Amino acid sequence: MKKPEDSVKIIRKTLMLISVLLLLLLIACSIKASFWGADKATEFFNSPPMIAYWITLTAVFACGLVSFKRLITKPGLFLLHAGCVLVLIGSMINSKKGHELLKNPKPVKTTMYIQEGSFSQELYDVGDDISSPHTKPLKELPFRMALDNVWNEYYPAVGTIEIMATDKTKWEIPAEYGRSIEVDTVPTDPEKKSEKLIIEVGRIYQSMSKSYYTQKNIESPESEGPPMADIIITRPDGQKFIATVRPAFMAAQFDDDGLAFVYKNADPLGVKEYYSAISILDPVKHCQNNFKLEVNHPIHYGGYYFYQASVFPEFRPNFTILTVTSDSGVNIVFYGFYALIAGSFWHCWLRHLKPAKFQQGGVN
Amino acid sequence: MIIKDSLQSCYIYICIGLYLLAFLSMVMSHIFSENKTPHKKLCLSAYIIYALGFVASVISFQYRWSQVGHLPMKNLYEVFITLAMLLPVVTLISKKILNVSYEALDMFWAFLILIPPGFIGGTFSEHSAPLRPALQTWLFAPHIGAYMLSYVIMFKSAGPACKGLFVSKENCKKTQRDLYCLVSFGFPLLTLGLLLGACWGQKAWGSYWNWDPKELWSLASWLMFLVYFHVRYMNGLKYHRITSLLALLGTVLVIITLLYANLSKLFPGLHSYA
Repeated sequence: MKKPEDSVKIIRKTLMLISVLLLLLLIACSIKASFWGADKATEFFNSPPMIAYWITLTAVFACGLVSFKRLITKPGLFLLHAGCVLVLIGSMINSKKGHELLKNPKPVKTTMYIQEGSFSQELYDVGDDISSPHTKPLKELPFRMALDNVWNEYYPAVGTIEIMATDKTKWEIPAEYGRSIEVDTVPTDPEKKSEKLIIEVGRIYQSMSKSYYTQKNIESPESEGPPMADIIITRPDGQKFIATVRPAFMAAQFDDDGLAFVYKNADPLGVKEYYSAISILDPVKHCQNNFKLEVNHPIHYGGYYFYQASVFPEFRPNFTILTVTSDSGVNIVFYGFYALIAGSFWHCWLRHLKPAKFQQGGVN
Repeated sequence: MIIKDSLQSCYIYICIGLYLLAFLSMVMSHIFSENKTPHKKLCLSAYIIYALGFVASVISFQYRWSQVGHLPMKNLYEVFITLAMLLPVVTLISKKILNVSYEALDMFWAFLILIPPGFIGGTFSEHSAPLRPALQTWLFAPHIGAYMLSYVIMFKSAGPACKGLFVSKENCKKTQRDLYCLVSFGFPLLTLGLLLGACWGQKAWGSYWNWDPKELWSLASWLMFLVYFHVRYMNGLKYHRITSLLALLGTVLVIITLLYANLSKLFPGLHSYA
């Protein structure tokens, strides 16, 4: 006759085996789904068989917490397993099916378009073509979102000075004050020998013109001239002279050293940040809240997160595009994350703070 | 294969040379071992060269930082420079705190890691675009930093994992202990990297998990080490070859997450810029 302890052992062993098999199955599914792209993978991991899988996995973790005493007594192990349970429960609540089952009226992920100087409360399905008059909003928010202002911040542009030789050799140097490069001359006079010149970037002009009095190069925004640069050329004997580098459309000529210099404008400017100045007009709370929305700094209001997705779409200028997501279950997921991080560090690092104990090793 | 002529590349070539020299000295010290202990002078010279390689890689990292104006961990070129810099740190911690050796393997990894940024163009070119809006967050450094450190540790764990596949049950205790120490050392950092990435996804894209190919590969590698812990707990040293194989598979998945998910055009996704 079997002792009760034996039955407990069998249950524990079975639970461990099931959890390992479930984890291996998830590894296989993750690898397979990585070839499909995010959209199809999302669909797959939210399909009915996977819903059954997630529920089973959560149940197995929960049963593990009940069946294994050490999962309760060892803080690290408890946090790791409880963290997994929290992440799974929170994700289920935050999913589309979870919203449906809990009769949560909030859509999980939608898009919002607001014109500058106007307001909107309409949420559209992600990927909807709102330029079509037939597209209808998925839901209306109980408050209005007004776009007071929308703008982009750009990186400062740095041009390039291109140096070409008659033998088709090319050098490039960023058009930044103080940058220098060594180049070889290709003299047009066959009796002269090639020598090394040091080219140093001098002053950069965003819009250059000549001074009426001194005939020197000056910065003159009113002249709307092209960007140019001064370069200081140093010969091997130490002799220095200044030259002006003009843009390509002003047709650079090869000099006696067989060199030609061209100022190339910077590539199209990179966007550093998108900004939207948003006001939320809440008729229930009778208040107005002003926010500066930017990427990585979402607004959390009325049970939704609002994200700066993009600005100025081609089909509608002066518009901002927001991604709007439901906040249901997100807090639970994040508590799970904190527990997982704390648990893993506690179990793998902190409890071994005594070096002698760690150096014995092999202790689970 | 190309030779790059920038100052950054000069630093990389110096590091490659020093790491290779350190590796060769360490191998020689084992070949000319006396009474099964490595040749002392050769071993010491290997450590000194390795330390010089570390100094050179710190200078290389610092120079890149000054050139691009942000922490150089944005693309594969910068990530590989960072990995090569972190390897000697992990070697030192493993030796002094965990009592785990495999220094020759570390030296070889450090040498190997610098080959792509040193000699390959395209994905490994020096060109750096400014940081996109989504990358401008305080999470950039800890998320990628934690991942880089954990990857280096998991690379190192491949040593005892490979050895564990071939040693007999009687001699596996030390190898299994080394493997467990390294995986335990790297696993919390792998967890931190994964979850900080999820926190970042929530802040930037509106979702902590997007089932993106890179996310799926990183989840698979994290789960594989989780399976390793469970199987090890269930069986102890009984099936030591299986536990070694699981840890090795975890390292393979880490390499795929780092390389294949970015280099292959099979996996377009949110992490394609990396």
